[in-house]
Amino acid sequence: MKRQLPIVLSWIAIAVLAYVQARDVKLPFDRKLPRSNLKLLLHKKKPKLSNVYGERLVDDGLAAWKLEGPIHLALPPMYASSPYANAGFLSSFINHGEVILHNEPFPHPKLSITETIAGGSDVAYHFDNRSTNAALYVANGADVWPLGYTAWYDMVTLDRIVDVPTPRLIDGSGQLVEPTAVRTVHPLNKVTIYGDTTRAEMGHLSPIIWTFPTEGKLLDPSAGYAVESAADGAEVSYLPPLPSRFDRPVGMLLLAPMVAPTTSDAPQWWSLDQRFRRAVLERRPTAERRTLVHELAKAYPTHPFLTHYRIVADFGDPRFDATWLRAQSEKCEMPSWYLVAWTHLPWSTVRHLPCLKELPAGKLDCRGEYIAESVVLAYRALRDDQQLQDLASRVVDRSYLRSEFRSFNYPLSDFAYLWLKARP
Amino acid sequence: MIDAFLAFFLVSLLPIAFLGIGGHTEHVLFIGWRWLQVVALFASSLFVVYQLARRDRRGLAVLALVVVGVAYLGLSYLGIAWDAQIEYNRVLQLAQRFGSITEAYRHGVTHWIFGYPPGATLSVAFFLTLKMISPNVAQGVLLALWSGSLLTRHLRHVDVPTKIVFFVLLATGTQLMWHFAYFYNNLFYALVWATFVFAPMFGSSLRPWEWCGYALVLVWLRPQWQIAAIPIGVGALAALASARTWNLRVLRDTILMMTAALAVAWLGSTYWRSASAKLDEAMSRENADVIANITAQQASPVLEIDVHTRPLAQQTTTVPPFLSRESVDAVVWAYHVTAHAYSLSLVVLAAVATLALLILRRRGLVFVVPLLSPIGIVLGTAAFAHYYAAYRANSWALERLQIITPILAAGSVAALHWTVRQRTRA
Repeated sequence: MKRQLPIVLSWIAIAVLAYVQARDVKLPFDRKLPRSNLKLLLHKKKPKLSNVYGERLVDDGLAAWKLEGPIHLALPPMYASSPYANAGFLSSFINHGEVILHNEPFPHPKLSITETIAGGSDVAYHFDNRSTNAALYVANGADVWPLGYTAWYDMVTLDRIVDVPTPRLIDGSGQLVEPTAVRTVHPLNKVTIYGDTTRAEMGHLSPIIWTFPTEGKLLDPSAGYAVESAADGAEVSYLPPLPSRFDRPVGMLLLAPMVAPTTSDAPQWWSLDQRFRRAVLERRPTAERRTLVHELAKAYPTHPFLTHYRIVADFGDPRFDATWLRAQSEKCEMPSWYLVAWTHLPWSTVRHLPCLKELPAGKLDCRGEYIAESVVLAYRALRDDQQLQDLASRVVDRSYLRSEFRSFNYPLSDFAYLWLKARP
Repeated sequence: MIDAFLAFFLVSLLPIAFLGIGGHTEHVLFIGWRWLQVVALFASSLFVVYQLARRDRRGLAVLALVVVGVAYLGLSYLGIAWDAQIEYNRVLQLAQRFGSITEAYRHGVTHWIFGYPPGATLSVAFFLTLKMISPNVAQGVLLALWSGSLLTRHLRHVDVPTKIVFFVLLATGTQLMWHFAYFYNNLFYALVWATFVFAPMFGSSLRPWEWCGYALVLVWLRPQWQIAAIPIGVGALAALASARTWNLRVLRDTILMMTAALAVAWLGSTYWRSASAKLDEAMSRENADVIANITAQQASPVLEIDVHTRPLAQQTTTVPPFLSRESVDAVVWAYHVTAHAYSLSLVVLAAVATLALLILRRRGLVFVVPLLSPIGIVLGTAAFAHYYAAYRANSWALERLQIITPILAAGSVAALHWTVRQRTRA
């Protein structure tokens, strides 16, 4: 018995140790899964793994959109609260070697930032987005990224459902006319009429068109439709707005012709719309762009992007400052706010615009960061301006930049950091 | 007796040796290797089961329990949820798509991919070939293979209660399940590390080729040979401490094996570093080609911004000397990081070492050796801090590397239990 005592004592000690260790074990597993997974395996079905990151959806999208050629994809700010905002994570889920991902601002117009350290031979930091041909369009926290944009060749998304009230016409005799057919203009879209509602499964931002047997006026003119005469009746068309954060979109704004072109007969305004967007990206003369917007506004007065189109039509023209200021003075126009860096407006004017006035005090959110870093970039020459210093500090405070410079951060935030660092 | 786990791992790492070949030949070798790995997996598993069935049926029963546990966890596995897993998986996905490891890295897009050397990835590559649910489930298979190999190769003479004690304490070890689910590079590294220490503690030993083979596995799981030197050195100390008699021959043999293992580790590390530098260049070239191929359809005004920052001299951080206040701070910091996560394991290691010295005297020295592993990492942080001023940003990496601590604690307790039982019986 005495000889067995050490063994007995060791067993007690081991049991206590095992108990103490086991008490702290937190299993990163789901206890409910084994039974269901085993059932699946017995039925020769492969259990599906959950994936906490949404990035895999991008890989699915690339396959759905049949994108050809290399893609240099701009991503949201890395440290914005979104699973899409990390180029490293995102690239890991994209098994397309021809896709290169970057945390960038929206790639048009182009921005190049270079840090040169006095006394150093090399460039310390360089950002240049001039070769980007696509931007991820995605729900990013409470907003949709990109917050700012100019124009695009095509806008593709994973299938999203768009429900639109089915339009009705009133003919000359006051009779209600129902549509006889509905179609889309792009092979990535499908559409069906369900009585009062028309449901579109959309993968491409392009019009939905209803065919009517006779001409007439819209029953509800304020609903955002365009009416055109057709050979044997009339056609009503509609362009849905960009997907909102509630749609939880995953898509791309393409800055090069990369997907299949529209295939069927489109309304006249769609051709104008396409020509206008291409004219912006290709820097066609301002007069041509202004004419296209003007014609588009006549053909489709309720087009969802007209305000924005009017601003970007003047981009690069001496009238741009006035056009931009007019739009920004009415309300905070987020899509064109970052173009402040391309204006020649004085800070004394811009600091009183709604975007800045509505900026909440304290910690910045995604939108606040975008607003603040855009003006820091625009008014970088005003080194002693207290408000700009405060905005730059608040931008930096949102990310790892507050403790460490990481060049894979969002370039505009990087600029705010460098601007503060460069101060004497 | 062949170490089946080591044999499998060496086969699994073969594509790293193909990196210099490139082109069509590497592609053909890679395709052949994928099936060779599956053959190696089945052969190793069958070997383990056959040996246990023939010589140690109780050991086979213990292995069966381990397999049941691993299968349960495999079935309750939730899904990929960690950056390391994603990168491991990505190397495989790209290798499969583009036909070789060289091409996988060339198309890797982000340089982050080099933060996760391909050893861990390749070890579970058979999950794609066998169409398993995920690489993590394949990792479970490998954990079972390691257990079987340990039972066959080093625990064959150990009694069943000791085996059970070991696996129970291992399974309940601090953060082991977390590593099992997410971060298998560190887990495999720790299991190989532990093999160096456990073999002498359980009365077994590693053969010269096993020393060298495991050294190569270590540096192809984690390319810093300086870190691999800790398990190799600790393994040599364990071999010396467990020797029945101390004489010049034992000392010479141990030093020779350790030197050979260190040489292999250094060569393996140097090879991977030079190969990865070339791969890195190839990736940069590939990325540049992709960007060049994107014909910027839109002409656009470029807003060029130059920022001139302070002179370089004002920003450069001074490198502290090896023996300085900063080095002491680094060691203290590393100790706190380790103790924060693994305090219980450290206490257990210290208690086992003390008890063993009290009970076994000179023969208890081998039980002090496991404690040197976490201490080696803690002290090594001083050297790390010398080269990398922002070393404190790596606290998570340090904590994960120290997963060796609970594994060694489980082995130490089991080994002491076995030794005491043997003495009691005698």
